[in-house]
Formats: sequence, structure tokens, C-alpha cells
Amino acid sequence: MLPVYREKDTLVHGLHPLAALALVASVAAAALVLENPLYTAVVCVGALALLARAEALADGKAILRAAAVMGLLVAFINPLVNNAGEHVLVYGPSIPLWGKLDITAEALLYGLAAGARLFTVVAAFCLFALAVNPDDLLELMSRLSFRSSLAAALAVRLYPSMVVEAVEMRDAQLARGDPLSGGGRLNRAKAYLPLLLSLFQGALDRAASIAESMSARGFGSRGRTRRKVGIFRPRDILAALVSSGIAAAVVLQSLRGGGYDFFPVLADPLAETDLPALGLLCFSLVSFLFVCGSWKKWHWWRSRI
Amino acid sequence: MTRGRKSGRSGKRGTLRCLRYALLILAAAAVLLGVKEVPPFDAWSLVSLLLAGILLAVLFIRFEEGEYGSREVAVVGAMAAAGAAGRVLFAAIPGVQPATFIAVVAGYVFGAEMGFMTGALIALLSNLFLGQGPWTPWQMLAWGGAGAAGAITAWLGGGKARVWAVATVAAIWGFVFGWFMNLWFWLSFVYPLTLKTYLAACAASLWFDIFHAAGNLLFAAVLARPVIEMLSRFRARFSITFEVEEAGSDDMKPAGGGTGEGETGMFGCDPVDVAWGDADSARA
Repeated sequence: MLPVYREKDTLVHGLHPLAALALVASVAAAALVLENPLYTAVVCVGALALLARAEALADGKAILRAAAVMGLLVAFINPLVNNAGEHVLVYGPSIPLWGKLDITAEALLYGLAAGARLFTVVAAFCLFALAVNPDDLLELMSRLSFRSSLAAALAVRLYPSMVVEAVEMRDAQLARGDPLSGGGRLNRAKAYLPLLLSLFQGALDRAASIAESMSARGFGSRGRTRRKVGIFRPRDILAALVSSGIAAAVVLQSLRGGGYDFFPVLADPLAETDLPALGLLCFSLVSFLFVCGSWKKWHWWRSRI
Repeated sequence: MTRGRKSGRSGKRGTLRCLRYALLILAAAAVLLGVKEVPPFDAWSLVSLLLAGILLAVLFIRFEEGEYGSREVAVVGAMAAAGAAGRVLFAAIPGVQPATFIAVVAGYVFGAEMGFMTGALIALLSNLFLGQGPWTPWQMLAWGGAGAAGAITAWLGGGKARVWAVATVAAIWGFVFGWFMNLWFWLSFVYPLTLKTYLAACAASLWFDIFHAAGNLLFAAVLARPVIEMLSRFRARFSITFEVEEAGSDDMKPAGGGTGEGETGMFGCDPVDVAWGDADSARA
């Protein structure tokens, strides 16, 4: 199981969920849209630096490792399915219904760049998973979708109690001598079956009592109360400005031609770069990283934002 | 507690409907801009993610528009928790997803909307533990679709519990899920976007898809009957029917089981009738 959100004393953890969502969305959009390797490198470093500033790099290691494997898989698949490009590295065999299996330098580099973009997107979502309180997010969503976010919040609360109940039932079954831990796989599966069904029944019973409680408290009636999610503070406005800066950089570069020509020969990454857009992207990321660092060090600044 | 779509809250309903249409127009505009290759919509990775998000929002708004009460919400939450727990428990076995089976069964018993919500929430919640990412909206749609497919199966089977039908749908969805998820991967990280490269992406995930389908088949073969019976009992437990004893009399008494006129309660109508359409017309 991967690590989940933990409360920490960092600026990113203290952001309003909407501001955090905007920040992550802008970083992920930049990684998805901009194919130029120069941009990919900048956004990737920026995402990892944001993770470090949020003190989530150590917690997110498992996610990043999985992302690196996925990125390598992307890098591996692309040259196999695409033999475009002028610089052939390996002349492969001709496969019926498929064609030549040549591996070109351009396709290989495209795969590596695509893998790096995937890694960056996952890093951005990793920041979101580790630094944004899911309760605050669900509360925010409940303003838009009341019932669905309530169902989600209920499920989040039910999940740990279901796990505890499963362990208790397993212990009871073991005490009765059921072959839960020994025997063949089939025997164990058979022994687990009533346990799974009991777990399911328990969840439904709990759902029934929750429903009764909700009805008793006037669920669905007008003018419901809600827990107040933190107000929008100057730090959130800063995060929103940074997100807008990143989004503007993406649009600027896209207007110039966001794509990068990997085929038939690699284009010069600098020649295909809109320097103002790259500058805006770097400035946005660096300034927010600076704000994160200074927030931690300078108490005066911290109290102001 | 009544269900269906007639309510006095027409203002809120109207706003939600407007929002739904606005989102659909936005989706159409995004596709149009993508086809015309207007930056930054020329990046299909972004457009596809946007479309998945909009489609999810539209379907969630559809759920909001229905007059689901506390029991429906609690059941969706409980089923989603069970599905998420199952997915996390089986995470060590690649491709085996009990979540698909639970979504199909939820749709089979409670109808398409609740099945969809259950499937979508399973993806959202289990990814809290397994890792959120750009794949989450796609998984939500794919598992939500499994719930809707379960409802269609019930509708085709006339509402009778047929294990083989559930098992078949669950097994087929093992492949559909994989192909749908490959679509995201293919659009975002594979070049060029041709049928050949898409088939190659599907071939790369074939083993996972086979395991997923086989796992679904196994879960359905062993668990479908008891779970459907359990959920149906739960549905009946909260269905309250009232019968007027004689004309002109105010006395009404509750009667168990069945569906019919004057019925009220959480799962008042047959699950197959609750599919995306108007529940009121289904009752008529």
C-alpha cells in the first residue's frame, strides 16, 4: 500500500484545496501538453522540487519508483511500435501483418521523453495525494456535488472499520479451527468465502444504521450546515498566480507550436522554444519554491501570508 | 422518502440541468478545437483528460438530480468501501480486480445510476491508497461503466438473478476495462496515433486483461449468487409498500415485498427500471 496524506507544517499543506488543485493541474497540464524535452526537464525538476518543499519526497518514493517503471515501459514500447526516424539503431526482422521492426534513435528518444512526461505527471499527482487533505477536498466537492461527495466521505470512513472488522472475524474463524492459514489455496479460498460475505453483510448493516442516523438528523432537508474549509489566504492567491503563470506559459508555447518534432530527425529543442514562455514557466516555479522556503524560515513573512 | 425525479426543488434542478448542458457544450467545443488543432487543444492527452473529467461531472450531476435519500447514499458508500477494500487487498495480484465484480453486482441489483456511482467511487477511493493520477478519471469511467453494464444485464434478464449472465458481463468487462485504460495511455504517450499502435498497446496489456477477466469470472462464479441475494434482501428491507384496505378508508398498512402503485421507499422500483431514464415513467 502506498503512503497517504499526513499533516505537515509546510506551505503546500497549508494551501486551500482549490489553490492546491490549481497548482497540481497546471503542472500536470504543462507536462502533458509540452512535448519539447527542455520543457519536460524544467517541469519535472519543478514537480520534484515542489515535492521536496512539501516534505513529501521521502513519503512519495514508492509512487515515484512505480512511475519510473511505468516511464521505462513507455520508453520500451514506443520504439517497438514506431519505426519512423532516419537514424536506425537496430535493423529488426520483418514480422507478418506488422512490418519491419527497426528501432530508430528518434523513436527511442520520443519514448524516453514520453516516459519522462508520464513520470512528471505522476509526480504532480503524488504531491496532490500527499499534501492535500482528502477531507478538505471532499468538503470542497460537497459544495458542487452533495450526495456523491457524501457517499465518498462515508466510504472513506467505512474503509478502516471494515478492515478492523475483517481482522476480528478472521481471528474468530481461526479460533474455531477454520483452515484460514493452512491447507491448499482452494481450501483457504473456500474458508475465506463466508468471511467475505460476512464482511459484506456487516458493511450493509452499518450502511443501514448510518442511513437511519442521517435521516434522524434531517438529511436532505433545506439549509444544511457544513464544516467550514479554510478561508482563501494570501498564500492561496500566490499559488493561484503561479498556476496562472504556468498555464499562460503552456498557452504561449502552444500558440508557437507546443509540439516538438522528433521525426524524421530531432529538431533543435532551443530553436523550438518560445523563450518568454520558458522564462515565465521558470519564474513561476522558482518564485513559488522561494515562497515555500521563505515561509518556513521567516516568521514575519509566514504571519503575513 | 421517495425517489424519482419529481420534486419541488425545480430551481436547483434547473441549475444542475443547465450546468450539465454547459459541460456537454464545453466537451463538444474541446473536441472541435482538438480536431481543428487549435493550440493547446491539439494535445490529445489534455483533450482526452478534459473529456473524461467532463463526462464524469455530467454523470455525477445526473446522480445529484435524482432524489436519492440517505439510504441510497449510505449503500453506495458501503459498496464503494467494500470494493476499494477488495481492490487494495488484491493489489498484489496484477490484474485481479474484485472491484469490477462489485460494481457489476451493484448495478445489477440497484440500477445503473447507483451502479455507476459505486464503480466510480471504488476507483476514486482505492486510488487514495494505491495512488491517484491522471488515470483516475478513466478508471472511474471504466468501473462506473461496469456498474451500468450490470444494470443492463439485469434489464436483459428480466430482473432475475442469473449467475452466468453476471459472470459473462464481469469477464467481458475485464477486457473492456483494459482496452479503455489503454486508450488513455495510447493518446498520451504513444506516437503515431494509429490503429496499429493502439493494438500494440492492447497486446502489451493482454496478460493483465486476461488475469482481470479470469478473476472477475471466478469472483462472479463463486460470489455472485450469495451477494446478489444479500443485496436484494437489503433492498427489500428498505422497500415499504402501502396498501389501501378499502375505498374511502384512511387506514394504510405496510406490506412486504413486491413493487406496485403507492409504493415508496429507497428501492421502490425494480432495479432494472431505475436505469438512466425517468424512474417515474418506469413505475407507470
